[in-house]
Amino acid sequence: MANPAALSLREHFRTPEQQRETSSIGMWIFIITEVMLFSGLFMAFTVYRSMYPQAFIEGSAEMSIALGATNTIVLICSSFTMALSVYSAATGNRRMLAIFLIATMILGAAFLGIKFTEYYQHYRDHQAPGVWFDWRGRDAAQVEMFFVFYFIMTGLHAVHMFVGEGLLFTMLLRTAAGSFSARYHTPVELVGLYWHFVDIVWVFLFAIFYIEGLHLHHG
Amino acid sequence: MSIVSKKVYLLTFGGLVALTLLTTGLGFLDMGPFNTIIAILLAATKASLIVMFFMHALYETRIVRVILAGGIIWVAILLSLTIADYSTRRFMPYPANQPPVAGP
Amino acid sequence: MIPAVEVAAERNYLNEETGVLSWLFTTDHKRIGLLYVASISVFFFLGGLFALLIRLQLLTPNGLLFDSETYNKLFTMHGIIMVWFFLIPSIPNTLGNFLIPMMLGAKDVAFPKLNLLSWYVFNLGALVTLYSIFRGGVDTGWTFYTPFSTTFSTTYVIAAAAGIFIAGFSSIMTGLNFIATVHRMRAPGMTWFRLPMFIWSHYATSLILVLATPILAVTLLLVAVERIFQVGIFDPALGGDPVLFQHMFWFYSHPAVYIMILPAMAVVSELVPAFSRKPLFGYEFVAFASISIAAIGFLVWGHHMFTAGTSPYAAEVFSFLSYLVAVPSAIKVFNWTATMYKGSISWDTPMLYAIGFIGLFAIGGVTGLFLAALGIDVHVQDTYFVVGHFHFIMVGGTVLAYLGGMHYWWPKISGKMYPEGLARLSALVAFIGFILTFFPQYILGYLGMPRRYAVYPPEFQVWHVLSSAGASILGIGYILPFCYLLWSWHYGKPAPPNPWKSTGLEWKTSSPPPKHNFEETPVVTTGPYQFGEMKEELDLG
Ligand SMILES: [Cu+2]
Repeated sequence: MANPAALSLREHFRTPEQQRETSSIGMWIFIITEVMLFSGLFMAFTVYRSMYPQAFIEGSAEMSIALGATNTIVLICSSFTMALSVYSAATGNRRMLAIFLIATMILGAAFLGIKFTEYYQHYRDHQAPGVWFDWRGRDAAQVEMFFVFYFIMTGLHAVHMFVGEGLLFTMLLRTAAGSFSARYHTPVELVGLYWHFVDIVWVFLFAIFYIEGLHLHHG
Repeated sequence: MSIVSKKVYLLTFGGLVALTLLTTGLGFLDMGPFNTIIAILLAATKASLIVMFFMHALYETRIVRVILAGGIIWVAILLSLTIADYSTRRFMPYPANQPPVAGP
Repeated sequence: MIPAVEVAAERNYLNEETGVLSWLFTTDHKRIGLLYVASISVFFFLGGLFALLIRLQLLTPNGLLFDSETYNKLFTMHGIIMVWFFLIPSIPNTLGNFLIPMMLGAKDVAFPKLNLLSWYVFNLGALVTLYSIFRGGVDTGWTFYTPFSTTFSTTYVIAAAAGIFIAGFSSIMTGLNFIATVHRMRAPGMTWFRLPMFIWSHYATSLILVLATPILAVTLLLVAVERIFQVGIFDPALGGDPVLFQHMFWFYSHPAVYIMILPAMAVVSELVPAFSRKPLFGYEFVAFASISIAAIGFLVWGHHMFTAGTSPYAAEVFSFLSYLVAVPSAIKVFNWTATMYKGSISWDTPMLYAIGFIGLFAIGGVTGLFLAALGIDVHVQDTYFVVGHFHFIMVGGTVLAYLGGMHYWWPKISGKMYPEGLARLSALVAFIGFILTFFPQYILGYLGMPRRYAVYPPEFQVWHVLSSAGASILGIGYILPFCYLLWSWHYGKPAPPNPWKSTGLEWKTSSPPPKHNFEETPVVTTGPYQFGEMKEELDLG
């Protein structure tokens, strides 16, 4: 592995710089498509939130702020370790790269664990939409709408987390195989971009689902 | 590409944690509509910290910044034109929002 | 300048490797383009079959063949197949795939494996949709309007939507690939304002593909969730708003119209200068018109909902913006005609299609303005006027341009010439068939014939019979090129590298091109469409 950069240059590119920039542009465009995907849901949520403000705040009050805030911190930590993974890759420190990738994966798994605990609690409390839903207060249909969006949006986010875990694992395998160096580590950078993007989505989900009903918290 | 220093990462991380705590703390106060507005503004601040420092957008080529700006503009188009419809429906000049007239 | 290759190269992208597997695992953009041609041809004829059944049904006022339920399924499947499995991928994934790297002077697109993956994903989506068709079909209309698609329809809505959802990822992959390719794969000296207009228009198309398609995905996802979990996202009985579905759907589907027409404009912008022997008039204007069509196209979706109960104030804004998007389209029509003015025009088949396109697109565009006008729209909304309008754009526009482009670049793709006389005749047949099919539909719509009805009052019969008669002529106009192009693949005269004496890098390599397009990376020193400078060169040869 004398010159990984040269080895990884695909034949239709002229230079490694061209290849790296092209990959980076591709990843950013992909992230924008993901932004649009989530923004469609944010738009629908906003419409119903403005139609039924009271019911949506009632629904928000059912969220567990302890678990939600913890999860936010967990995910921010994972973004931090992801950033350090990219830093380790760029400085050619393969051992630290592997360690930070593993740390990111563990934090991601912790996030998913907490998330599914919350899902279970909502299911147990008859707050999962559909046949499982049972709301004794006012505006049952509107509160159910809140939970529909809560489950779809956090669920889609969780799907992205699973994909991210898979990507991190691939990066770990390639790190172990010695594919990355200070000169060539574009895949780690791209996975980093993806991971940070998923973090950003959560930051907004936290704001719209957990915070609004906090002041009339039911417990 | 440029390598961002560990110190920048650490500061960003600290900022994100602080903003999360601030968001949560302010949520316990009842500020009417400002609960939502402040929560969204703080989230946007956190998002821009992540984009600028963790995702290196600040150090990226011009084209990446154009792509990023394009994404933000398109989200704004989607939200603003839809909300333009919903927010002006109640000013309808025809009797859509009045109680229905009993049929024959 | 690369010296023109005089004879067809011994080794080219078609014979470099052979066997089915060499095609199924290819990452060559040219071969992937041809794979797409094969896929979308199947869907074009399948969608055409449904169109034929629709036109048969409407021969008599009480309906000739089917009951209303079956008829609902027929027009739905015609729409779904034609929109998502023919029109959206039609030009970008075939000619676009084949030509964009060549026109840029690149060896391939930016992400060749992603390109191949997009073809597989497209076919997977198509198979899922076909599954819904063979299980009995869908009856919601291609627009999947709620609450019909969520609450009332008992057909295979989820399978059809899932197929479209999957095919959407293939669109996104293509758009992403093209944008990255145009930004980073240009040959040395190929500056933005030396790009052929084909590239500009496809760049604009790709912007729409990546920005709009995710919204379609999420909309269909919500429909599926509502059906599966019996929740009320769009159900008014449960607090949902069906009009929200329309907002989300048309945020994608209006720009999707420009996904279909911008590549057609891309083709015509190449054909008109080539057969007028003049540079494209107002190059910068046409380039920026492409980008502004893509951008403004995102601001007008509300014009599909004027009668759906949206706010009249928002409707006024949407109406105004819809008028605005006509400006760049009109600029293009003016520039094409100005390019032809005092040019030395030759009447080869591609030019016949291009001229047909300009005429039909102009009519389709102007009737689009009728529909953007708040008052007239109330009168003709959901009538055959709308059907006529969008078929003028999509069939008269996109399909004609697709055929024109196919003829123009066929020598490059196949290395063979097609029979010119027969081709001119079939272009004429298609044009006449088209006018006869769709012009009566404007009249029908104006008289009040609603769309999607299996039966109609007897006084409309004459127009329906005219339309059905035209459809059969149009069908011949499509089958003919399909047959003689296939025939020429084996039996056609070998094509020279540049049969049309065109400019553009794709003509500077052999026909068919070698695997990596060029023997050596070309260096670009001039802008496109320099026919004047070519003259002496040609006189010598
Ligand atoms: Cu439209």
